[in-house]
Amino acid sequence: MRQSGIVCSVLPVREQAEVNDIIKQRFLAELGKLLTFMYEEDRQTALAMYSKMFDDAADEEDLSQFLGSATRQAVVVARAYNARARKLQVESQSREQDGAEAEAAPDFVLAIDELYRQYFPAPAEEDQVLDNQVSLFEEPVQEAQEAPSAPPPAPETNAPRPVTPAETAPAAAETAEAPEADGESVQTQDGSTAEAVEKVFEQADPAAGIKTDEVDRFLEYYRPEDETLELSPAQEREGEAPVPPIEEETPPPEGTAVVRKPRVFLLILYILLAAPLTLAGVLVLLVPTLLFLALAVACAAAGAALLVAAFSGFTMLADFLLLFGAAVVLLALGLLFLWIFVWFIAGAIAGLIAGVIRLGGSWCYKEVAA
Amino acid sequence: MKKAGRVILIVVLAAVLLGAVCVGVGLMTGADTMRIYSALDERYNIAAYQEAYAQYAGELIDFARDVWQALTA
Repeated sequence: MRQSGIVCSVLPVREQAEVNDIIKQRFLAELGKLLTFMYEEDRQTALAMYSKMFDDAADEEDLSQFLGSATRQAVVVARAYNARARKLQVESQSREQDGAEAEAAPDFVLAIDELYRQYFPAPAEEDQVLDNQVSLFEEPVQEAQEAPSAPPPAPETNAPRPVTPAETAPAAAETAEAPEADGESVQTQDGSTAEAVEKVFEQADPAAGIKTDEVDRFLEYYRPEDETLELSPAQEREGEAPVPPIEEETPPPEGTAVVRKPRVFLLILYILLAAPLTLAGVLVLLVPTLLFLALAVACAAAGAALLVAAFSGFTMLADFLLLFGAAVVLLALGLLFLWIFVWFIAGAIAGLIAGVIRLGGSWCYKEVAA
Repeated sequence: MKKAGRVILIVVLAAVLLGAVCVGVGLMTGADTMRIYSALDERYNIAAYQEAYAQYAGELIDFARDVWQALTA
């Protein structure tokens, strides 16, 4: 790694511990700057996990080479991070605080944990699982051991695994495989994010070390706005509306069954009031609608009559041109009036009815957990 | 719906422009409106329709006037 190489060459006389500390601090500082697209809490979690990795590593230069540049690790985290899904996940967890169920680990935590387990393979005796037990990490550990480019374990092979939410999440095994060892593509949640990340990732050579332009390119896609960052940059590029604050009415995330229950009294009252008002509105709108229809028919009929007369009864070119022009204008006006009629029917009247129904649905129904 | 509206508007504007040009060229090249009217009246009997509508409108106006006078008397 160029980063560690620079440090070693510039400071050849310093003790190894100081060098390691500089490597760690620079890596974490750069990574922290790149991860500002995440929620602050998640960013701190990710940085703490990387810090723990450096603390557990015997040789931080070796670990730094394994991890590659901070930009590369930021890409790994960004691939496994979806701000909107994370927000919904946090919301659902806050609702279930009273429940005894374990929290589901975020995907980016699983991705970092997978890196940790690749670099610190668990001892063989820890992998042995009794017949009546189920190993949650059996396949990922085997993959990590079989990975050809995975670095050798650190001298202290009994280094403890970090305690992460991944160890409490049964669903962890099916998500987030780290791409580092064998270059596999990562399961992404946001296709546009993945495309943007790929552009940066293609330019980044892990063996070449950190480049300033890599960081700039990454920050073009993951432009930090504030500490609480409501949107991921991919969503901004797609021109989506900002994520509205989650309210009680917002449907809960997948996995939580929701039933819409009517507020009966309110619903009856709404129907009694809304039905006659809607009917009156429709009748009012029908007057201009039918008027435009009549105008359209009249203009079309007059235009057609003039056109027939122009082609059949006039021999002078000047008269023909005058009649032809008038017929074309009348037909055009007929088309315009016909379009206004269609707009009244499909836009105004249908929109009025749909709006009343939608309003009733939002006022008179409540969503409750099944 | 919005795209269809835009297309129709463009078609209507183009047709109106074409019709206006035709009318203008016809008038400049010697078209006579009285001659055209007489020809159309001969073909579609426009004067009869005009007279009928005028009579109907007159009756309607008389009816409205009677109602108004009855209400205000």
